[in-house]
Amino acid sequence: MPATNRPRPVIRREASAGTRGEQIDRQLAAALAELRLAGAVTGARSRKISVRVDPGVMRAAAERLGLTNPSDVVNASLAVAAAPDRFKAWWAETHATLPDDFELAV
Amino acid sequence: MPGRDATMAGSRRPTAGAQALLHDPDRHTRPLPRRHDSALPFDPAALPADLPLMLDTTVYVHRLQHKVPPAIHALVEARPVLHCAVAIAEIAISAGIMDPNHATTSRYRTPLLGLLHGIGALDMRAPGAAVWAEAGMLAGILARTQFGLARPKTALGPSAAEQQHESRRRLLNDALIFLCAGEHDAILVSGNVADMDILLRFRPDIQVLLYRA
Repeated sequence: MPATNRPRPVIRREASAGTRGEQIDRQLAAALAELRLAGAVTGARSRKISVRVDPGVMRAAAERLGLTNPSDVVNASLAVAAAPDRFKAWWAETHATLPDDFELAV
Repeated sequence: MPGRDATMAGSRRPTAGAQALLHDPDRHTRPLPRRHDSALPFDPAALPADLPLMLDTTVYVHRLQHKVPPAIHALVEARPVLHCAVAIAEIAISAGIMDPNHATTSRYRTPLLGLLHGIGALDMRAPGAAVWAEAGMLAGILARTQFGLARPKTALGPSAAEQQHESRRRLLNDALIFLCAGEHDAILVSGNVADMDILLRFRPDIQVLLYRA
């Protein structure tokens, strides 16, 4: 099996990019943590797919994520896209009610 | 705007003074008149398409009171949302200050904690150091010129002095949230029409969307 096809559960970014890179790392880690909580992460890259992508979008995603391996770029992009957005869920669904006479403390 | 590059004359090193003096207090001695709603940013359709939102504290409270207008509700659903740490602190102190032994505390605290649990820490943004300096000067100018909050303590009773102090703090927080949105290239959504009208006069470059609950 070629090295690039080995199942790799972890996405490893190139060490660089400073604060921006750290922010992306945290975003990716948070997305994977949310997906793990939701039971969506299997821990293996076992499903092979063949897709056509816009090369410009692929390049932009790779630059934003600080990744070079196409498989890493796709996996990281999918993780960020699939991670549930807690705030959006809260915003759309909460039925909690704060009484009208509530006043902020400051 | 004078002093916009926030450096000392003859030096390239930024200073807190230069950051604060982005707004010269000597140039502001009279209150600015409030503008009509037609001159203010109430139209969601007029917003730049690609910017995230940042929510003023009022938006979270209005959501929990089911008072957010449908157009604002839909906009928040559709756009990425950043959360200003100052607004989060205002929610958190309001939850923390309630007496656990009081009969009504859970009615107020539970919705606030639900909101805080819904906000990912990575989506929070804090104002930078330069913004604090600018916000402090801005709040001071507004306290003096717009709100009559520059009266000496000796002219006020203890209760009024306390009230004045609190109102200044509220203005500082408003300015921090407003400038934080600009710092992070976000559109500030706010139901605080009166204060945002004035703040926008000082920084018309910051994107704001107003609504009335």
